[in-house]
Amino acid sequence: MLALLLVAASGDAFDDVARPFLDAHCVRCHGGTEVRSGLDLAGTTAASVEEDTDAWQWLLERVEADEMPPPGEARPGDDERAAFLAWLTEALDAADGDASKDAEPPLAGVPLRRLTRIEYESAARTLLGVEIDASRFLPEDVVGHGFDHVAAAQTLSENDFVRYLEAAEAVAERAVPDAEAGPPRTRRYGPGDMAGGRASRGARWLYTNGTAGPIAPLSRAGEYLVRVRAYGEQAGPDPCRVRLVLGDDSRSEVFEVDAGPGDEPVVLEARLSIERAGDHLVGARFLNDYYVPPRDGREREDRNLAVRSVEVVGPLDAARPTAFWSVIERRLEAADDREATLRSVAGDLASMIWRAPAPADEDVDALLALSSPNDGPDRRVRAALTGILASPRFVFKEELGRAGAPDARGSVALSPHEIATRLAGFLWSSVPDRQLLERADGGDLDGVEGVRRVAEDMLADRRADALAVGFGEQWLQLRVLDAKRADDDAFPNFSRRLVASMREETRRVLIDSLRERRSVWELIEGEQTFVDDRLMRLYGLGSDDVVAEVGEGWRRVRLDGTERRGLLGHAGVLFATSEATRTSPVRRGKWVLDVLLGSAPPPPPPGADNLAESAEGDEDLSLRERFERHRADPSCASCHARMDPLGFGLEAFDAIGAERPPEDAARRDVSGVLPDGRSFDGPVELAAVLRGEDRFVDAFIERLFVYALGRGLERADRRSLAAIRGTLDEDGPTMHSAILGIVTSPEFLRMPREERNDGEK
Amino acid sequence: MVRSDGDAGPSIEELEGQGPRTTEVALPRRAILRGAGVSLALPWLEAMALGQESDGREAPRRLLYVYVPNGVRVDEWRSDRPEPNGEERANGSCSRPIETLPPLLQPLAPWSSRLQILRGLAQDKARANGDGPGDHARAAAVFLTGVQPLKTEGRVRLGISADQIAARTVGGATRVRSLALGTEAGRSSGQCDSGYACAYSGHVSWESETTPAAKDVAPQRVFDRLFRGGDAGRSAESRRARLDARRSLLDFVRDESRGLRARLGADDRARLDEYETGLRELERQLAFDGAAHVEGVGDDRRPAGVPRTFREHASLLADVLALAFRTDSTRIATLMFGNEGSGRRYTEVGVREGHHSLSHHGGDPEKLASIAAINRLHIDVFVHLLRRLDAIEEPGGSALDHSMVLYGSGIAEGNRHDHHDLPLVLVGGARAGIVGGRTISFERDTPLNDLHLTLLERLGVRDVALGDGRGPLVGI
Repeated sequence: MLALLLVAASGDAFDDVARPFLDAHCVRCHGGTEVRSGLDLAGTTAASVEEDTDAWQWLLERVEADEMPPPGEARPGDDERAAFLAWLTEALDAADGDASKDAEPPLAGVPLRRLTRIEYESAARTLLGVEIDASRFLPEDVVGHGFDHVAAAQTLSENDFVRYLEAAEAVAERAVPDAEAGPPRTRRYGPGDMAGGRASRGARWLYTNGTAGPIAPLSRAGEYLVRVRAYGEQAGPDPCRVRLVLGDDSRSEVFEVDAGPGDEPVVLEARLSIERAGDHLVGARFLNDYYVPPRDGREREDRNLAVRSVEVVGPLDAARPTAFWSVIERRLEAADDREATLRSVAGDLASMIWRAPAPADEDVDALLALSSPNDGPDRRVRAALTGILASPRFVFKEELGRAGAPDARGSVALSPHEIATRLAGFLWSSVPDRQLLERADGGDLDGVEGVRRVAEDMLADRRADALAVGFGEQWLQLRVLDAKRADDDAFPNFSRRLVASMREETRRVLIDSLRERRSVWELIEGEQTFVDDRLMRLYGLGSDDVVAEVGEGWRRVRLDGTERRGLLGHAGVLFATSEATRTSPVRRGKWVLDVLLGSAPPPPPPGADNLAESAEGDEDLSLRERFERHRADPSCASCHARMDPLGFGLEAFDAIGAERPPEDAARRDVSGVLPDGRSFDGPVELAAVLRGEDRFVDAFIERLFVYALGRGLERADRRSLAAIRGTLDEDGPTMHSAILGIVTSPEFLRMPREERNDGEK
Repeated sequence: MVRSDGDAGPSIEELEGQGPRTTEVALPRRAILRGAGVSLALPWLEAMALGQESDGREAPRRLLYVYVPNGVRVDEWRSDRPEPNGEERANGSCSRPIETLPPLLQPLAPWSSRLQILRGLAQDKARANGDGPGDHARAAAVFLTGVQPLKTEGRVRLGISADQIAARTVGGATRVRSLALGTEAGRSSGQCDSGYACAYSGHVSWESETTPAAKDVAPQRVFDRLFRGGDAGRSAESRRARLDARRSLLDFVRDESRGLRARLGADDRARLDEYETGLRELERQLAFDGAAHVEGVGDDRRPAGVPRTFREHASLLADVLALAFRTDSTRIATLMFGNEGSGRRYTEVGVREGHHSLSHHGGDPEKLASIAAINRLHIDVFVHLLRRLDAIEEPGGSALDHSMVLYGSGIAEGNRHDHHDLPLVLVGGARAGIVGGRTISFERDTPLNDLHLTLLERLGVRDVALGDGRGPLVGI
């Protein structure tokens, strides 16, 4: 709730500029008798800005973004608006700087954060060699400010707390297998427990090549017997062919399943093994799908596989120690004083997993008290490890900062371990590994230059691909592709595999941009991309266009003969912003404004969006006529004049991103005129127009900054953002240098020294 | 433990002492259970298990909300016959005996003397009120909260829901405070309706203004949470070993969290609150674990997998829910037949088009027929649930007589997105003073929250604030 207090004060600029603006454009809804959104601007004075800078900053942003006054209300004149914004900016700066321009605003801190699923998974893998599927254990990561690791958005239902304990127990059990594992266990799964295909008629049906089976939690590496009962709907010359799989192991023979729906299912067995304990897909892979559509009065021919049940028996071999446990076991065996060594093992593990210096003696006492001294060493280490993983010291990214007096911005430096944690989260979507913690201990992270060097090394590691993917897909809003489908009739070439290829293209381009230190402007007007066979067909490319094979069926291709440029030529982007049956110029235009230029248009005023939707979808209207519809209504025009032309420029591509043939009606007019008078014809010229939008680089840095810190932007960040921008090459700013600018900024390396309030709230 | 002295319900103080969420009542209860050494855990059944008379003990009261998305065909929900003159009440409401159930509610005939059809109740905060489109998201979010949701795709802001107010009070008497169930997973992220976060349309149950209660869709998971402490597939012995390990683990985590709290600044301490609430809640639950009823429900009752059809899936959830009530594992629950705005295709009743797009039928007879089929399917599953509850015999009546079950939607007619005169039917609760066999019409735009406050009062929860609720209704 905003409460702008009444403070009597004078201020010429306020009286001349602000008061008339507020009276003319704001107070009808935000003042006096009506106080929408709890915002009362009626009695404000020059001094009000100081009273509540956050509220005025919010107001500034709304007016800047043209969200206020809302569409449908009279828009302020350009001069009037500019004068008001200039006054407010100055007033806010003055309020921040305590009236002195040189004083810097206090450093904005990062609230306490929990590990995300991906960080937790990665921690289990890199620290303990355990694979888990964190989505089975931990609650969903909520998105805030566009990213799924932002502190402000993290909430926890009380029923979900237990999941952190369950995850800790599961990871510890897999890292330290029980030495006295009993006899092999048999796990049975029915169709309802399986993934892949569809459950129907008492079986799991595979209608295309693929795998059906459960994800089995297997707490030990080793050999297992996999037993599958299956039958099929037979068609074509061959019976159903099947291979059994367990995790990565698909070295079973190829079975022929000749039983039909009425027959007794065939029982298939294979001994397969997994190298790592964890959650593994186990089941049957259908290898020879066969389908001939009905034709010439003949019925369709369709070969499908039905998996009735899956059993996993094991582990069959003796307990196979994990790599993690072998090391510890050797250490314990070589020790003279077993109890002392146990203490140092627990201490080392706690230090590594808690990303902290060696724990206090009483912490180690508490960890060892989780088991009885009479238990075997495996039990004792497992119990201690469970405690370490369940502790909020692992689950939360605690930051205390170094001792010392705060600087002019009220901030102190983070400890080396805390910086390591921030770096690992930002660059690897992970936690620091042992090596990074050792570098932190060794002083490598003391000082800005040290941080820069470590960050460069980390960016050279393949784990930095996680940044290109984790940041890239969320920045570009491509996660919607998870659930997005195109209409089968309108787009017969569409398939889930095509969507996977789309995502892979964008991933590869972003990874390439980071690793090869390419200019981010290539994301706007780049003339090369990566494609596999499917995308090559979709894009209408030939072997002449191939620049290089890059492995795994992917190749770098040239796009100069096409209409495709940069990200706006990526099928994933074009599909993500389309409807199931058709393109949506409005959504594409909004995407350009929101994602690329960081200025999302406000949501449509009440009642207006349906008009826009129906106009857009009306096949009887030409493109131009639909646009005119938006223009005819002044409450629509202010935003649609910005959005629609951008979207029309992309009408050269259909809803799944194929270039439309020249005879396509939608292709006939792909020109647009922006409100400022700039015009373009088609996507290539649109890319050139966007190349002139300097705002793109700022918006990119801002999004990366939010991702790096896991919090929303604050006013106080502005100077650092400008400084980071200043370090970039004007002609060829790169993601790499933007990242280095961010990790060496005070916002990344320091934290506010909060006045401690030791009384419980 | 829960006594009924005439019409007055048990007081909260009796149930769990003062204060929200944390309660010590569980500990003596566990002691009682162990001391009694019987396989039936229900205190009010103990006496019977030991062959004694029920000596006036009454089964506990429960509260259950069943939410249906996308509204209903109001022409089939509301009776088109001229209604008999009712008894006008001072507060403007009017009560009439039910002579004939409206077409859609016909399958509820066996309980017609034990149900109320409620008219005239509204959820005003589901309306735009200046926030533009998004009626579906708002309808679910507001149903049990009566709070205007913040229009955002990011961090949500709403308010605590009626069931969660019950959960943090009477819920303290049972091992699980409340269940939030549904047939479609609720997502906490992403945009689902015109700029509203998915959390709104996927959750009617809200623990706080920012946190929807985690919703379970897998019957097996619910079962395991209720009866296996999450340790399904292990022997009872290894479960007990794990339980002991967990108790010491929780002690350790509590100390760790206390240490962290001491090191944190004030803002971050507030961020730790939810985590510690969860921790205390688990401690409270563990005090019940090992109790006979947790072990006493056999593996043959454990559901497998998630059935494919709505009917099977929702019925299985209803079975687990009935089991939870029967064993007194919980007394408070919500069950969402679908997320609001759901596009589920109910092919099992021959409907191929998505529910939401059908609900915008525009008067098309074919679409209207499909909507009727879906509405009827929902009612059929509801009947299944009522049968299950009614089959549980308890001192004083069936479990249904001790359960107030409100079935309805936050949208009246899907085609119009209206939020007044919502389709609502209240079944059961005779032992909580619900007088059935009546249609009760309230003044137009009476807040639905007033009904929630009424039901809460019957549970013994008085003097609570809930969204735009003004106070309990008279004459329910």
